Amino acid sequence: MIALLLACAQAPQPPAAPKSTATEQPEAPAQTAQPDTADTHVPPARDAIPDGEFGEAVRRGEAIFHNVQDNAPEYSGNSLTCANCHIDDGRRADAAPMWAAWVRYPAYRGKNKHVNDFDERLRGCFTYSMNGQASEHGSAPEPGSQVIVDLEAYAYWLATGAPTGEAHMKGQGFPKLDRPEEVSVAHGAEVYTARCATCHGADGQGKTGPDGEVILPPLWGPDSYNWGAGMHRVNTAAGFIWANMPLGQPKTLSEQEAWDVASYINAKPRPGDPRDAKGIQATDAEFHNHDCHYGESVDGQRLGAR
Amino acid sequence: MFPFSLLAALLGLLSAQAAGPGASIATQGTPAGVAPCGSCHGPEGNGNATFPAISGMNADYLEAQILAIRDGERAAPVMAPSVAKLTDEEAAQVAAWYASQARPAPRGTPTQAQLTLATPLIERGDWPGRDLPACTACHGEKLQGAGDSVPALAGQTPEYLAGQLSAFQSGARSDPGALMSGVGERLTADEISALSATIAAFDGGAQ
Repeated sequence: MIALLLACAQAPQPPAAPKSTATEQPEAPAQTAQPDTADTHVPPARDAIPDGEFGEAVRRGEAIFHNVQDNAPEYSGNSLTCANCHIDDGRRADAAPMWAAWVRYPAYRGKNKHVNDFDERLRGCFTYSMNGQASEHGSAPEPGSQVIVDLEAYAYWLATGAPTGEAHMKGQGFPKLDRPEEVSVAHGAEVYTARCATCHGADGQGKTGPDGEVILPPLWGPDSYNWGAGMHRVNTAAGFIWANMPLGQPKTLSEQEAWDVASYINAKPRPGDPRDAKGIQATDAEFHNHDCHYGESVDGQRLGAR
Repeated sequence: MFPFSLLAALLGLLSAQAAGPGASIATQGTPAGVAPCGSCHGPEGNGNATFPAISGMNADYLEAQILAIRDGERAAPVMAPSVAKLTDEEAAQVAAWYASQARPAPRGTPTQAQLTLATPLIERGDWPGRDLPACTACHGEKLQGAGDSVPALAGQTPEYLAGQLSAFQSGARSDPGALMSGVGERLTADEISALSATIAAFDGGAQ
């Protein structure tokens, strides 16, 4: 419990030695585990968006969600889009589906210590996951702005028939995995090379098309999520990765592999925490009392440097 | 007749050399015994039913595949002996040459039934039932390919595409992380046929 209350930089260091299983080549599964979707919410079919002004807002929201760079470029501060983490454009259970998010707000959030409405929650994604500080606009969209309203319309439509006020619909958020006794960055590097690098690059910078357009998203560095994004937390990333990655091969990594590779990815440099007003140490103490690498020194560089 | 063909051959050689070493390898091969790429991939690198189009593909991807085939990391029994003596530098040169060429125009016309079956798979995949990612999720919204590991699909022939999807399905073509064999084994024969016809005719990637 005490460890949980400590800021990231004081968290126990992962062991340096790779685990004995580290050199084994992971084998592709003969068949992907079928997702447990038997009684999860089923959002309306994609082609069932209604006509009219509301339907137009839903369509715009879906387009923004699918590709922020093309459809809301002024608010894009990196190379990511919503659908990179919210798989199947926010429809997929265990990939933070938007239908489960819609019905659980307004809600109190420990992250900012007040009750957030859905508008504020969406803006948080732009601030942190989309690194709004580096966008043309310089910050998240304003409350009630068209981009926000369109995304709200899309989430509301996906949640058609879902129970308002149910904070824990089946498939909400990412799965919560028990933390293993040891989490190894070194083993995570081997998992990364074997299972992640084909799409995200050995350097973690994703892959681009012939004109430099982003196709496969960067996981660290200046064009990825910043140190305030939920995904920088090792436990959050482990749950996401285990349930969703590699894309189309969910739950083919062991939970241990998911933890290790989540730790590896999140022990890399990325854009600074927008809440950092008094330096890394103070920001670590105030905002990073969870499972992350913020403030640690890696390869002579202090993680979190702006 | 003879002087004319000799002249034509000389001119061809000169123009290939003038266009750089990559063009020369593509049309003439190398003195070490590497076959001209065009002898299988077609004079303009546009491919055919058996061999892929290589014009207009990402240079990084082409180079990586040439080296993987030369070094035995990707099984390609026909091509491997042809490139056995290609140097790293030559591989980069010929990859850059083909990357600088225009991608082939869209080919064929899918039926309406094929379009209806294939388009949602190309653009959205099939979630959650089969956990099948959209083709565009990795290959790009114009199926233009990404970096050194994901090929452009636009511009290939339907026969080549169907052959590759079937090879992924059967395991005859291996791929890093089994990403595509995992996709192949979840597709039906009708879907492979529809995807191949629809992707070959896809015009979003034509240059």
